[in-house]
Amino acid sequence: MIDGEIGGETPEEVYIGTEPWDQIESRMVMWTLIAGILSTIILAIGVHKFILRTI
Amino acid sequence: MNEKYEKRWYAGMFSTEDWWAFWLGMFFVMLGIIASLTHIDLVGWIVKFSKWVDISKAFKASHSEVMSPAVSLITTYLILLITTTVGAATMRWNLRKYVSAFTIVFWITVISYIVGQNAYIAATEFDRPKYGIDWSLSLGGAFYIIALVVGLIIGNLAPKGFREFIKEGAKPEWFIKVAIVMLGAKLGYLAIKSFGFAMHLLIAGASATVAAYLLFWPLAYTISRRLFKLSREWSACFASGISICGVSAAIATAGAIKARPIVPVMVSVLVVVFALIELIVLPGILVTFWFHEPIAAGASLGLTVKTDGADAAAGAILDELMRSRAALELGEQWEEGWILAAAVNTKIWIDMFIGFWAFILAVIWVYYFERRSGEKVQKMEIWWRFPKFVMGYFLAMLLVLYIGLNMFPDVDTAYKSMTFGIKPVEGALRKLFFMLTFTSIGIVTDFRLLKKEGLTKLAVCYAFVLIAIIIPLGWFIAWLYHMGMQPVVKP
Repeated sequence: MIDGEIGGETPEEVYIGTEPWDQIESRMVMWTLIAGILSTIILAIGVHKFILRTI
Repeated sequence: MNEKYEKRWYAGMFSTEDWWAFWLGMFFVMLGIIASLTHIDLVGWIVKFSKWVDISKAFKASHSEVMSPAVSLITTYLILLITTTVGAATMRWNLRKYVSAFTIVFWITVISYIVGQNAYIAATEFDRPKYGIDWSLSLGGAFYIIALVVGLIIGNLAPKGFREFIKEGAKPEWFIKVAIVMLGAKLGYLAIKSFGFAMHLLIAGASATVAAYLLFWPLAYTISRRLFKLSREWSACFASGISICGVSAAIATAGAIKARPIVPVMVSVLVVVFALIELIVLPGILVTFWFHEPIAAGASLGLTVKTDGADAAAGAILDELMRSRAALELGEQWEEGWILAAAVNTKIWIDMFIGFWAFILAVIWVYYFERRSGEKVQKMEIWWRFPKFVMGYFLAMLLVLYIGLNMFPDVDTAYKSMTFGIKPVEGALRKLFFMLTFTSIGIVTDFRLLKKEGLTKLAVCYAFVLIAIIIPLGWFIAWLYHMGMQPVVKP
């Protein structure tokens, strides 16, 4: 087993490899995180106001 | 299978486990609904296991006047064998192997169930006088662990030929999806009396899920890319597998980004092995440290345990443990199933996002990373990736609830009628499918794969993200959206 490879029979099959971090990835991660944080806050407010307080 | 057929909306309707979970689950739920409406006993044959000291009382027919315990057990075996074999046949499995392997899995499951229900193991302090015993281990849910351990022994220690053979009849994802459709009927049945609470649980679960996977995914992706230096292909499948819905999400993501087949397979191995570890470890931790937040604890399982089977299984154990502790310490009898429903509810919502997320990733990969000019991503991709058993879960819930609220003169009559028809399906039969799942999870989990396939780097990455991100964040989100919610207490 060569470093950087897992499973499979041939290096082509299993190669993990490394790729440079792309600008697009930064944007993808950033916008998903922003969407996650915003939805966490907004939905939590909604759930607390309309559900948890009524229980 | 040709390209044209693949693209039709009904593709896979009779050839995939997912669709067959829908068909089988709905078949049994419909039997229950028809029985409730007509009072024709279509479900009394279902075998029901109970705690016992005298083994002759270990199981009986759900409606015991219909048939003897032994006939009920054999009838249940035959009906499950026939119905699942119809599915296996249309999915073009090897029927000879399936029938014999399923038979072994079924009877191992039954024996585990009976042993685990022994009153000295399962009875709580309150139950002891009923069984005339002065001590018991109070291990509600031990039968699940026994089935799992027996499965693990077979899956890891039995001769190779037998291991390979028995896997033909051990289908954890299929069995649990059928059980989850029936769980939809249970939620509908419970909601007849507690409509408000059931709806609150559904909405809180959906909200928690949206928040969780939008936070899990980018964090898991970044850690695997930056810290563990995995490629985009591995990182995307890994992040989906650990964040969204394990095996299905890894496969859906691989399809969306056109990853090599080995990638989701390797991620799936990790998902299954770690889910099993979580299944054993998490319920004990949650019942010890989070007893005062039982619904949040249940919901957290749906966010942190990444296979449907292991999540529902962990939820079932937690439900048993929490109810036993509540009976013991608070003197309260919590209705069975609410904690389990919370666990499955969050998982169900996460499952629903697989199609949506696979579509988003396909767009990003096609238009940005791989720049396949002229290629378009079809919106139907969302439908094809949508888990169909989830449709069954909601359909079963809505049907039972609608009929319960509209076809009877009052709620009490509705509850009584639905208890006659739906209870054996959502109770005894669903639990039997859960048990089949536990045995099967054990059988298909081969710990040697971790070493043999050289998955160390991915495994370390998986363990790190699970412990550092998914579990703590999952607990926080579950608490944020379910704080203070308690199961309905039996009058």
